[in-house]
Amino acid sequence: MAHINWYIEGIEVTNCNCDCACPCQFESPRPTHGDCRGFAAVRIDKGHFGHVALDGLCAALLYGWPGPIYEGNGECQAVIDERADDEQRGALAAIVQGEETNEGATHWWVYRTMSSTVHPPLVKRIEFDANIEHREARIVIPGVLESTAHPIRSPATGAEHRVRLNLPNGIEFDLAEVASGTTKTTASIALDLKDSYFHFNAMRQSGKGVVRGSSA
Amino acid sequence: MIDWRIEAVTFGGCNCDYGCPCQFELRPSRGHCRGFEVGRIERGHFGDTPLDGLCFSLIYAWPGAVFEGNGAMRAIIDERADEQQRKALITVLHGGETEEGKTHWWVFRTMASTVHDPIFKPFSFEVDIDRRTARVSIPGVIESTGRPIVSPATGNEHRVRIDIPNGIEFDIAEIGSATANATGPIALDLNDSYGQFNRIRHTGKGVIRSSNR
Repeated sequence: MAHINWYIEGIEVTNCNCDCACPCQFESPRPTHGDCRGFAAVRIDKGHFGHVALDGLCAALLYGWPGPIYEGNGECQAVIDERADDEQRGALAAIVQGEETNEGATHWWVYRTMSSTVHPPLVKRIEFDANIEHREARIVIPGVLESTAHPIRSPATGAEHRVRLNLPNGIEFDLAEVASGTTKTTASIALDLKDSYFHFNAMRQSGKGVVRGSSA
Repeated sequence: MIDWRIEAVTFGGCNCDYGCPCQFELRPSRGHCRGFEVGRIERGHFGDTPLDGLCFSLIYAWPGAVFEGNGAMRAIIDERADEQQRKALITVLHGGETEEGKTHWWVFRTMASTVHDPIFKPFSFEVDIDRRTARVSIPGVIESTGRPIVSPATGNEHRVRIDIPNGIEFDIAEIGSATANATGPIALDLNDSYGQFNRIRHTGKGVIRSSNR
């Protein structure tokens, strides 16, 4: 079935409960602590969903699984930018809940497919402040989530450590800067993450997956 | 400092998970570190001694994280190397003629309290970085193979690269799965743990950055 044509580009951040070397990125069998809990948030600089413009809007997805994601039985909850109008709210919820997307083409699709519980989306103000170059971020969703990120620091030298992950066939990003994140939530999906895996990536996605090169 | 430069294709592995925590400045997956590296020099010199075509290997172990020291290492040098080439390779693999902290060899040597005498052996070494495959045989010392990571979810080969823009070992490395068995003073028994395929471009002043990824 043909999907609605959509495209988003902007900045995505994510924080999960794994160590800074998130095993999922390496297809290791198990998350660091056995379970997976975290969130992803995106600020769309340019985007559309059918004829609906999404420029400047934010969205987030909170998630949790009892084991690795691919074993399923997880839960997720979308948070939609309160500045979005009704059509935009529907579009953002569709994208981060993996709708109008080819099978397995985005991480949103995988998250949704591996979740047996999908909480109703929240509509909230999303404060999104992220600097990829400096690996500093502060994401605040009042009453729901507070998250900060800083560069990894070497225990050997005390210096900031820069390491990137490159997934040439990835469904979330091509290149991500890895950092250390701390997140607390007071939502259906409770998170209390301290200095764990955080990444920043330039996001370019459509219903067919990550848009690479100049083929947008 | 003697002018030297080594451009090599390398394959290595350690006892950590596929996302080797060292690359992220974390502690090793199982608290300690044991591994190896094998390389074939495509182009290299040490002063006026050419090193092209020679192979080398390092086998190493630390009781904790590398940066906590107290490790052991052993260099294995291609037996085809002549006397000068042997000296040159031993020097750089032992972190000599190198500015402080500028190569991973310098770090390994500095963090090793036991440096076993180098040995000279024939190497059989095949590596394909892009395909993430390798086969190593140094008879009586180490046998190893490398292969792509396979996703437990889909059964497909998984491609992931670690990119360290200021790294002292590599700029970018393809990550795979390594299996190795080594005997001797530093024994290894690795079964599908962290495997790394990359190029090194080392000098005594550090890594030569490439614009060509």
